[in-house]
Amino acid sequence: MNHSKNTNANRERFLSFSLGNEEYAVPLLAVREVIALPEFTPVPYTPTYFLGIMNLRGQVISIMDLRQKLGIKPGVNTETAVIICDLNGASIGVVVDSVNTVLNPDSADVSEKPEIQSNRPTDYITGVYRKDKKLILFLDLSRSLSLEDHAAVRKSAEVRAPKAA
Amino acid sequence: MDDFEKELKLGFLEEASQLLADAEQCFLALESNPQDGPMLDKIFRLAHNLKGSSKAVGFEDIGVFTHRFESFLLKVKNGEIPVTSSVISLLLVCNDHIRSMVDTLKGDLDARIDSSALMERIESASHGESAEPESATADLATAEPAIEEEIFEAPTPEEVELIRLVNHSFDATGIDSGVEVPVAAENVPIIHAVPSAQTAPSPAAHAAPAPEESIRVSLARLEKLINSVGELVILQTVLREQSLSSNAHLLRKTIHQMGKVTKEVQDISMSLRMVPLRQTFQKMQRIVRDTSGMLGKKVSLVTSGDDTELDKTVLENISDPLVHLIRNACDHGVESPEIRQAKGKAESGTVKLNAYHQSGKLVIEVKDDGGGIDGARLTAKAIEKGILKAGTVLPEQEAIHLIFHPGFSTKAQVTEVSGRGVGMDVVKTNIEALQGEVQVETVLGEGTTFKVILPLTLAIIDGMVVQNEGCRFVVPLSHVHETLKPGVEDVKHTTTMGEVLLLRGENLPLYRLNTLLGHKKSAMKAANEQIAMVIRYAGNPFAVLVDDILGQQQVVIKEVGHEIQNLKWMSGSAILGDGKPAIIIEMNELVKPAKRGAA
Repeated sequence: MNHSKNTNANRERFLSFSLGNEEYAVPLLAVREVIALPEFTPVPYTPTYFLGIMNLRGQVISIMDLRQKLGIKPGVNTETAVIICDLNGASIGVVVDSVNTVLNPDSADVSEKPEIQSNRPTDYITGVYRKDKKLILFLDLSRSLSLEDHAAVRKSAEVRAPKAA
Repeated sequence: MDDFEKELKLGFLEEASQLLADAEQCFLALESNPQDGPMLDKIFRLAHNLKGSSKAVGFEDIGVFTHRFESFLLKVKNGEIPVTSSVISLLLVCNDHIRSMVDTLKGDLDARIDSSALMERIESASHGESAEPESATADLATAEPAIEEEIFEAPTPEEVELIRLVNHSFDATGIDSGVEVPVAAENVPIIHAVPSAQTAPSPAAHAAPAPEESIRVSLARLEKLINSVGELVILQTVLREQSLSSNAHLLRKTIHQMGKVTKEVQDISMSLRMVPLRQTFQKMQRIVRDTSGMLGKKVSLVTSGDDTELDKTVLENISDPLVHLIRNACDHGVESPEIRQAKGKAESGTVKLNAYHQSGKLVIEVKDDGGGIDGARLTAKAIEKGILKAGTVLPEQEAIHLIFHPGFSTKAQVTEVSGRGVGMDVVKTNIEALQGEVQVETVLGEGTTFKVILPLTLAIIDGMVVQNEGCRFVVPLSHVHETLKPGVEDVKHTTTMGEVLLLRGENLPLYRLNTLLGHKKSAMKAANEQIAMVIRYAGNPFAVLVDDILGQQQVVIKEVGHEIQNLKWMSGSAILGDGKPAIIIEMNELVKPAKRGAA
């Protein structure tokens, strides 16, 4: 679909993490830091994957559960971590099952995602990387979180009208 | 253009804006006191600095123009051209022109600006000796003919010395003096940009007290500092709580001392954002001068309290509403000279602009000695415009508030100054957006006072921390009118209107924070186990039941991520004492859909 993007991305390094039994990765440059799951304050009228807001050294940022967002069953016995990402200048916390390693993939091992007939949107997957026998999916975080969330937040704000009455 | 050059240029533009603001103030001061020798010197120095540094960084257009401007100023200074109202006007026009050049260049560093028309005007004014001054002076009440001669016949010895010294210093360094202007040296180094005592070896400059030294810091860095200090305060609180369980005496003592220092650091860092109102008030002098001139009225502005400090963000947003109020006072408030004379008032009207602190708030008063607001006339006008039903009689205070109604203007004629019917409602909205309010006091025939009451800062609010279902929320204290524990018989449940709180003869709609936040109704507690907050703030009053009120405290407002910024009922968040964030609730917004649902 967007071949040129893939070839560019190949030179980048990625941070890989687990969601359930699956492995995903995001560009390392978009990652600010990784922290343990902090205390957070839930925000009403937001989708369930929107966990709430947290205090990151005096800055209040949103925290989301990527597993719930993508509909992946959380793994058992995991070291849940929060990846603080930089999305267009704003920070956002993303909950994952565990953070694995930094990848420096060879472009030959990265391919476009296979065209799959599905009613789930998959445009946030930018590439597929095969390492040994594992399959790692590259994610575009701003696509997988931000844009849709505007719609989701709006929607849940709308449906509350009859509920509150 | 390389980065260094760009930085130089941007630095110059920043500085030029400041110099221009200073210069404008000087022009206006000169107008009220034309024989003010030191003031002329100051203006001349400012223009000279501007010329020098603009050429040094390579803004030729500004350089050429300011050169001409400076020559003109020199003639004024040397008494070849008398200081008249028209000269001052020309100087102000020039000032505006340079300002617009600076603004254009800020957008595009390579922009070229044509100033030939204005330069011709300057030229004709400097050669044509009295460039249409007599007619123009007539409207300047204070300009007695004697003044013009006075300045130039008797230049102060200091002035003479200054000119001699300045000339001498340039000659001595071998810099070629300008052709028509002896002081106008072309190659002024950029260091001259700083209008301080060290750069000009003049007695006049030495006479002025040395200004307090200061440095420029970007707002972003300041905000970072304030953020970190806020975090420090929270950590300090946590540390203190921990130390209470410890027996180490020295540890507890140190933490106690650290608490004091932390508090001081916090106070200082918060005060860094505070700036005096002076510059904003200075701008108003010009507004009054221009507005009254355009309207053919005589209005003088008297300001006081201009060293009152205010948060920078609030200050930036208050400027426009203030301009509008001032214009309004000149246009609608102060009467024309004829009417004033007929009423036995002084021909010249006065607008007073005053600022002061009152119980943790900033109050800005705009007071005119004009005709006042006629409530009956406003009501009649509102009926005519279809805003009110025919035959409505409003109490005086309510009638006066009609001026804040959108699309309301009593002036029969639309003028350039005001009267387009937009304005007062915008003023009110802008001020309310700053968490402030506007009050009007008027006495018919004697004048009107507008009181703008503002919080000192937007970064901190007084909040009431409430608890609901184990979660804490912050409600701005200014929205809460009162809190009470309702009795069983005070709360009536109706199927059609929901719950109603009977409060001293008022029937207030009663909401539950639980339900408002989307929790299930089954978890509802009896109303008398909860606490009702009465909200009276912009709109109809109502009451909200919460589980508990934990206390009142000042909280620092933190922005939330853009993912949830479209939740209107959430105006931000605050980090509470234990380091956890809490949502700041905008109750007015939170109850809105419920109202829609019930209707």
